[in-house]
Amino acid sequence: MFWANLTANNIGINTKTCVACCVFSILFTCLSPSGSTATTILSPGTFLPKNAPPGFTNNEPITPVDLGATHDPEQIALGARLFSERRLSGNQQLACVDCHNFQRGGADGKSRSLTASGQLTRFNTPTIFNVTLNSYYYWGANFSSLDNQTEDAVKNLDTDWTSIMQRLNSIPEYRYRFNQLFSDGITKGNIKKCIIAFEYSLRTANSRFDRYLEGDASALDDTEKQGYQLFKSYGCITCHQGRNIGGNITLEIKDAPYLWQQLQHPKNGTGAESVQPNLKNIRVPSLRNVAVTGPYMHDGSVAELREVVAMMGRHYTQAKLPERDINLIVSYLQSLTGFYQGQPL
Amino acid sequence: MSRVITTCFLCGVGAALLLCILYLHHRNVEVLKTGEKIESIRNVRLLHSLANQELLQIRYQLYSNYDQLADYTKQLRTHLVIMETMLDPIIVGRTQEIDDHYAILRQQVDIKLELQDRFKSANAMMKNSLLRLREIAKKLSKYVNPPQREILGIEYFSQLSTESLQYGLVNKRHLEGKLGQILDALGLIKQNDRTLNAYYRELQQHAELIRSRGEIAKDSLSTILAIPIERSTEHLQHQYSELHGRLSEETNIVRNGLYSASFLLLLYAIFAFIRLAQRKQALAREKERAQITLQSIGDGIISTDAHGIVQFINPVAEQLTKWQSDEAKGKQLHEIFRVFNAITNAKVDGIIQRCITEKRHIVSAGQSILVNRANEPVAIEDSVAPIMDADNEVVGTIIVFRDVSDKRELSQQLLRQASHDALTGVINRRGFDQELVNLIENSRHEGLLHALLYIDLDQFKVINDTCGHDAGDHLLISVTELFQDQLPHQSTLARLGGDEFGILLHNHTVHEANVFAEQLLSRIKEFRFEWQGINFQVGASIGLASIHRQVGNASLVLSAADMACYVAKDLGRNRVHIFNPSDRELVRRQGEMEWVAKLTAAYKENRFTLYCQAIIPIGVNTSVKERKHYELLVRLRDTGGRLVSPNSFIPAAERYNFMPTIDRWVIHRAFSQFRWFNSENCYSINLSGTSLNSDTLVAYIKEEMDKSSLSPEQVCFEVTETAAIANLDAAATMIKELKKLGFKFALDDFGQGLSSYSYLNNLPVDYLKIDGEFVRNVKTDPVSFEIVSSVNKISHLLGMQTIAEYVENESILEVLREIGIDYAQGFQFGLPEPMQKEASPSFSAIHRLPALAEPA
Repeated sequence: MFWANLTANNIGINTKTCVACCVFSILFTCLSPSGSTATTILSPGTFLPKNAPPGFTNNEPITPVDLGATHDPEQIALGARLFSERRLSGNQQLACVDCHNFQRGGADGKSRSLTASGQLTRFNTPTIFNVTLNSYYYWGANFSSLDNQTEDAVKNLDTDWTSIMQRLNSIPEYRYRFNQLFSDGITKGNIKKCIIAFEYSLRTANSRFDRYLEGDASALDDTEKQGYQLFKSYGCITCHQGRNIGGNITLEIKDAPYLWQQLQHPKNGTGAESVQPNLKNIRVPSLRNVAVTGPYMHDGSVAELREVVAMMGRHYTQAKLPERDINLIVSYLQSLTGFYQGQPL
Repeated sequence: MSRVITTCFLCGVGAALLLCILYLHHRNVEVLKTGEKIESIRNVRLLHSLANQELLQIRYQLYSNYDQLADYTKQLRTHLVIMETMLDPIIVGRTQEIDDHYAILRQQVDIKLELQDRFKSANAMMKNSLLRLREIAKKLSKYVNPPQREILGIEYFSQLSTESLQYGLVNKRHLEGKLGQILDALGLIKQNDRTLNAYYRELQQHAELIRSRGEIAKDSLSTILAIPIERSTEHLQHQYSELHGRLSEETNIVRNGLYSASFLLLLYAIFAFIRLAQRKQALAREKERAQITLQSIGDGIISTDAHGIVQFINPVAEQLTKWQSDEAKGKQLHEIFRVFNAITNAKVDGIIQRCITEKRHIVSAGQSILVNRANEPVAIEDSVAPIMDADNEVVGTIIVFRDVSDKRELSQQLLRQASHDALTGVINRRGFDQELVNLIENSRHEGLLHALLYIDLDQFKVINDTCGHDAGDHLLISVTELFQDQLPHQSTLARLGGDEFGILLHNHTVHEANVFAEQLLSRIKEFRFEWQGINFQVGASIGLASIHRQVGNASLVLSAADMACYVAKDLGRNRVHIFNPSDRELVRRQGEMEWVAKLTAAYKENRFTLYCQAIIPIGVNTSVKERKHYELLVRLRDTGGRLVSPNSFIPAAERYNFMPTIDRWVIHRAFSQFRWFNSENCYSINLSGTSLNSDTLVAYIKEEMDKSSLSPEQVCFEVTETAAIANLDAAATMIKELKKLGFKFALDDFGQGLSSYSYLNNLPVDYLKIDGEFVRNVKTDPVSFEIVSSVNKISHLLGMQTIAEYVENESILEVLREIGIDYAQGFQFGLPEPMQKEASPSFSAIHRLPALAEPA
């Protein structure tokens, strides 16, 4: 109708303008970042463990392992997949799991392991189980966070992060799974996040000693109980304490007499060449699952547990331990073997 | 244009607000980050003190657990990582001071953590030796015999060591002293005892370890406790708080501005919505109104777009074009609206294109004929107007047209009426004059002789007065037919007046004309007019004037024939008289002498008398009915007491300038005899054309009015339309003056002059009296009907009321009511009656017979 044409021209405002105005104003009101109240004031408690163990004057200096399953199962699953992915290594034949074998107590049972580049590692491979309970990583306590440790560990696979990401990007399965989990897909941070999440799930709870600590007096037999008392009275407990029975303390190199002697008197084949002069501290290793994670010491030079106990006793008590005491302590140490996925290690 | 400006403005505002948002967002991130950092600084301080507490606890425990300390350390490291991002360049306003403070803090924390590791290492070694110490003490006390034990004071030592281990090494110095003593004593007694020697060595080494590692632990701890991390964090926190406050303040200002702007914009939107809704409503209303107007308008309307495509067609246009609205829409205009020029018969095209290119209203020049869908021609008047948009571009056209068939017919009829007699159909005086002029011209050029017959019917007045107007009309029609039968070839018959006819005989000598006239006269004599069973014989007086080269002008010829007719009448009627120049003198003298004498005598003898005739309100307007109206009419009695027809003496009085005298007599009479009048009623007094020119009349009226107690509102003066127009200025002046005094005014015989309505604006009269000739024919003649109704419409428009004369019967009255006439006057409501009381009913009955037509 011509009336519409006639009059529409006279109207400066039309519906579109109105709608635009409304949308604008609502948009602006919504988009405007909220006020200063949004600044998060974090209460101190947020960072502190709520169930912090009380002062343990009347308690045992060792605490049981918890399962610590606080991570996204999807990330854990992807981490597990990456952990056993051989295609990521330089020769495409080595995976993390090859040295941290779950059938061999989270290690490989060798004194020193073979890297992807064909060289031997500097130190004996420690167990991967309960790794997240440690405060220091590597024998030399080189790192205090798993993030940094993972960053470094890929060197053993004879590769770098750029090629790892290229490899992953070329595999549709990983592209898909990463895109499902992360908005930014495959990145170094996301890869490490998944692997660390998986490592958090590697706990061995429910060992007999843990059950004893939780109040089940019958979990240990008498010899083991005597062994534990000796473990304490001989002073092993001063270093091998806490939830991981070690792993949270370093010793200065001169307080580690075995290593100190090696440094003073190098002998071939003992791995002394790997001990660099700048090595200042050595991590006290965890004793959890110690019965199944031989060979022992930083160079894997000692095959038998009782030998290690005897050696430690000699070094730290300044006296030779009686055979009986060694047997008792070894029997105690055997009670520290836990369960992973319902199976004893 | 305003739309473009509005859009630009809104876009500008939107862009500005978006920029504000981006800025705010950026700033807010900084505020949040700053807040986070402050939080981290606070947490670093807290964790530092918690770790210190934990260290002290570890120091005094025999069995240490470093898990808690490790947790604190881990968290401390996390917060340090967060604090690392403090150096993120996004933070505006970060100062060198902050960087320096952070560097110091970082250094302090690093030192602390290193010392902590050192402390842990030393503490573990020392605790190990302490535990060994107790064990050796136990073994020694078992091994040595009592006298040796006394010397060694082993029991005391054992007790001491146990206590000190249990209660936190408070007496470490004492313990060391004791250890030294024991070693000294043991050194004395060991001699060659290998076991004792071994214990001695062991003790010695452990004592050394306790001393050296204890020293390290102590130094590390005291150094850790002395690190001023608290102060550093406080400094840093203070500086970040300031920065945070400043940022927050700035952000708040911008945010408040943004909120206000958004709010204003929302308000504007609401306002715009409301205005739009209102406009839409108004638009719908306006559209509705326009639609209704278009639907109900009497004119045909077609609208097209700029390409001539029909978009709208209203019902009248549908009717005229015979195209239905839905069919017509979308068609080209020339399919629907086929117009031809009535004169040239050429198709009229391109009027739309002209309208569009010239951008102006175009009224079709000629007489247009619309050929509708049924191929019937319809006379129309049409015009095309462009529709402009805001940018003055033509977006369409509107064609307005109306059916003017009736109007054209009417104008043709009016044209005809102007030259023809309505009753008989022969030409009238005007047409006759024209013919006469032509004939005189013809005679002058070609030397031919023609003749003019002037015929006056002798018995017409008798029949008219006794049997009524109808009879008179029929007589006239019959006579006309009779004349037409007799007319020779090339002759013209005309009705010149009431019962007067004229015949122009072409190419007739006086003699031939005389023969024809005699013949005609004998035919008239033979003619019998029958009316309601009565036979009337009709006679005629015929004057004959010759038309020749020297005859002079038309009026001379006409007056010659008129005078010849008069002489014929004077000689005893029913005869033909050929004009003789001596007739002229005869007529002049006789006529003048007679009427001047008669009127003067009548005035002197007071033989004038007043009659009145009722004017009845018939309109729907009730207020009209409140006052009765009467028209005062002057009558003359002859010496024998009989009434003389006003048609006889009034023309004479006008001719001999006697009317002002009569007018004044009527005025005087009316005002002085008001006692007969009902003070409720209104009375009309006729004024002649000559009176209008009198300078003294108004003064006279005023004088008379002052003497009388008749109120001016009761008096209405009437003046004929022709008289008023002839003296328009004088009439207007007089009307205004009299109206000023309070009198009313009426315009009499309206329509007779067939003149324009426009002068009515200058004549502020209260009433229009529509000429009786139209009223009488209102029922039978559509032209009369149209004239009456249009006069009525126009006078109502001008605020005047209408009076219809000559209302002779009920059927005419019905029609008048239908038209909406306000007053009626005529036989239907009563004849004029004498005003005086002495007028007896019988008297008035007698005088009903003579011609009682309204005064001319």
